[in-house]
Amino acid sequence: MKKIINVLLIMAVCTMCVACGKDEMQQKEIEPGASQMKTICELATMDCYYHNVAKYNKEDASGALWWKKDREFWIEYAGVVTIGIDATQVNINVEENIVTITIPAAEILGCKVDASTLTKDSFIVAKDSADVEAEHETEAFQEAQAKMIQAASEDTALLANAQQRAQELLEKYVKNVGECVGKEYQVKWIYLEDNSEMNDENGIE
Amino acid sequence: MNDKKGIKGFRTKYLMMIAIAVVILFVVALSVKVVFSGISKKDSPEIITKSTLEKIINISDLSTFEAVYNGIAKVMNEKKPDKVDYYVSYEAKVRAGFDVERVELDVDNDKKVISVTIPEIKITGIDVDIASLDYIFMNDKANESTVSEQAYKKCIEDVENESSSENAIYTLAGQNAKDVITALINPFIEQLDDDYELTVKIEGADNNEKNN
Repeated sequence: MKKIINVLLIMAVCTMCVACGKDEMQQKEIEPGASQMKTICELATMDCYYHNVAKYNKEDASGALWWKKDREFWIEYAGVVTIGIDATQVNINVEENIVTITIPAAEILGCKVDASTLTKDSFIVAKDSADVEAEHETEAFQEAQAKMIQAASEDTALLANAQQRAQELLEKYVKNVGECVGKEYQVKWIYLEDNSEMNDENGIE
Repeated sequence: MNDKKGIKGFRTKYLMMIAIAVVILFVVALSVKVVFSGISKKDSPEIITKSTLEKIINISDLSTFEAVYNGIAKVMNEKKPDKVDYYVSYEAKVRAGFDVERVELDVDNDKKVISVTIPEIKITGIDVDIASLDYIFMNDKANESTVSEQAYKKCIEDVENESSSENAIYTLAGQNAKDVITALINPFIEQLDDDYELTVKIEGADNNEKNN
């Protein structure tokens, strides 16, 4: 009889152990993940419509002495500039309720001039300009793409916008996961560009 | 002797009853736990509810997208409307976006499908930088002190007309909007229940995309 009692008690203890163990496993399943972060960064990439004017101005482009003429014309064109965060450089470290996200600065990831926007009407030639020939138009067209990248790279507001967008999406994700498991995560950012580190308690700074 | 046997028998029965009670208690506790954990697992959809997802996508900051519109306005002579007075180049920013309040969201927990419909993308703002104006005069007489005032108005008119008819602005803003919604919802549901499928579409646009 004692054996039966012992067996029953052992079963009860085992049952209790199994029941407790399963709970811990389930809780570990949800926490902010690196692969999700990378996906978010890829989706945070912005395709920006970029309409631009390339200005061509060459002094004394033709003629001689008093008959010298400048060549001046503008070209209006459009394209798409892709701005975002390099997802491969994004990293995450979760320690209790502190989520440290390492993030690079937003950059120009791509740039493409829409050739269909370059028509005869796209060229505005100044009144007293030297003649603009096909070769000058081709030269200007080739410069257009390079100028578009340059213009977008110098557009700090556009880059800041892309950076902020990626950070907001990442932070929102962390907070949502936290709410789901009943945790209040604090996000700490490490910026790869200048290696500065800052605490962010209320959102993006 | 019989008394001892009786006491021993009573103690054994008593211990056995306690043991059985303990086992029953644990079996009941375990059953309750299994049932509840079953519910909570089955109910991961309970986290994936319309109200939870609506809260997740409530992101007014991320509903606006900026396009760069550096253009050229052509200004005609008032007396001779077929003659160009001057061309003026300008730098402008065009904002396009959608109304977050009007985003429609449906969750079908049986089919495990989340459908999001983003309202029509609209131009929400235009800024022309007056300091960026640059001119090519075709009529030198047009180069007067009042020219910048007139030119600025023409630039605003130009960017308003050009941007509202430029499909690429709407298309790109629409794609960006879809990406934002997907970035907000997908990684989250992926961790809770990756059987769910997200569909995001723009109101009035034919093409919709499955994002999961």
